[in-house]
Amino acid sequence: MSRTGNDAVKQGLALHLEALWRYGLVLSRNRDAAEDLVQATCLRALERSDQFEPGTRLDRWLFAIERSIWINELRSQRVRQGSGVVDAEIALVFDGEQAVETNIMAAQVLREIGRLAEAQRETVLLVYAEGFSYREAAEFLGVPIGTIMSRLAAIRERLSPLAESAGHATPDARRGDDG
Amino acid sequence: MAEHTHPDDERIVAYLDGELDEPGHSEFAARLASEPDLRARLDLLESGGAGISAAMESLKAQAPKARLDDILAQAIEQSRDSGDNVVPLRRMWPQAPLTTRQMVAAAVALFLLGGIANEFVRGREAPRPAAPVAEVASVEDWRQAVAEYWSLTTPDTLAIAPTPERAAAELSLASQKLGVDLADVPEAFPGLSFRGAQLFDFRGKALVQMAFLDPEHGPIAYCVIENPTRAEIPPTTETLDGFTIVHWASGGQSRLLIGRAPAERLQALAGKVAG
Repeated sequence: MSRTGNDAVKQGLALHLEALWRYGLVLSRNRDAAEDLVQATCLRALERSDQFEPGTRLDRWLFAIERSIWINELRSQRVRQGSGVVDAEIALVFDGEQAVETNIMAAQVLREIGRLAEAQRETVLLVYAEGFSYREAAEFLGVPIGTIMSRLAAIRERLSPLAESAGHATPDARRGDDG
Repeated sequence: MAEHTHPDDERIVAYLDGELDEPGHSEFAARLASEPDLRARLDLLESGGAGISAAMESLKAQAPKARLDDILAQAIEQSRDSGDNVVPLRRMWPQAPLTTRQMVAAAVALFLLGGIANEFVRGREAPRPAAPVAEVASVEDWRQAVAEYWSLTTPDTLAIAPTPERAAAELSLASQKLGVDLADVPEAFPGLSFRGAQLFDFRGKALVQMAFLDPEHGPIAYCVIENPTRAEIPPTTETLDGFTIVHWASGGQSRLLIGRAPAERLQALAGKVAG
């Protein structure tokens, strides 16, 4: 099992780098920290590749590793360094000019999401970008399903004025793909 | 942030996200038809979710792809260097110039070996009780692991010959761990220059790799691993990852010679130590 798990991890990591980076950015709201998280996740995943079971979802396994590194190692370190709360308003639109040019709505949504609490940012990413079901998100985050639902409702409520001002006639709240 | 500003918020998002199963979904749809307030609240929450997927996609699109690819490549390289599970062999003392981290790792390894423990040989994980099938599989693919590891070895890696004292110490330690006398192996291969013996853990079994430099064909390794199945396999030639391998098993060990040398060369060398 260890060799096939190993190969699956080595080959599969490349396909999930951008998703890992996005998750790292949503958690840390800092671009350098997001890259650090990707790096640490790659190393940890390679070290533990014999624990990955081929046939199960590699992206979920990688997210769990990344989250554990963030919570147990990087987050506290950043708080100690006083960098845990910076950037809150701008961090998710780090390349603001370009983002605004390409999609004003997206930039505004990201700015609002960037202002949310970490648990809410994480929930919105997992469910609406990574295609986690409520149950999967609840298990992954270790909270009741009701908490997932109330977080999502609060986020949707908070973002609703943006949609009104953007004059979105056809709301589209579908899930992200499973990628 | 204010939460629960409407008593049905949780059901509304579950409805919007397709998380209500029947009959919950139908019941909720019926309520929507008859309760304008609920409908208005649903519209509001639906509009709030409108841009999220697209915004998240645009965030992903801004990932620094080239940098991330570099990060992964470095991580693969680094995990190889540190001898972790990427190749399931653990380095005891490296042949190449050492980084500080490797020096520390090597010092720790030598310390452990010098002591009573065979912990290191057994690996950091507790030995797993091997099922017969797994046992066969691991015996089979030890050659693949050796080939992957040996692909990292170049003539430069083997440029420096160990001192006679060091060579004797390495062979003695390897012999002790494997329970087989390997002291005379270097003399058995005329024309090859001995460049050191390394001890690895492969799935809980001691694996010894003796490195040689062939002036004509470059690096050649002679490897011996415990084989608890005690199978008897006559010398067999195969090609793996561009290497020629001659392998055989007898007396409770599996053995192989590996290199980028013609099969005849390795078969002749095998003849010196087989049987």
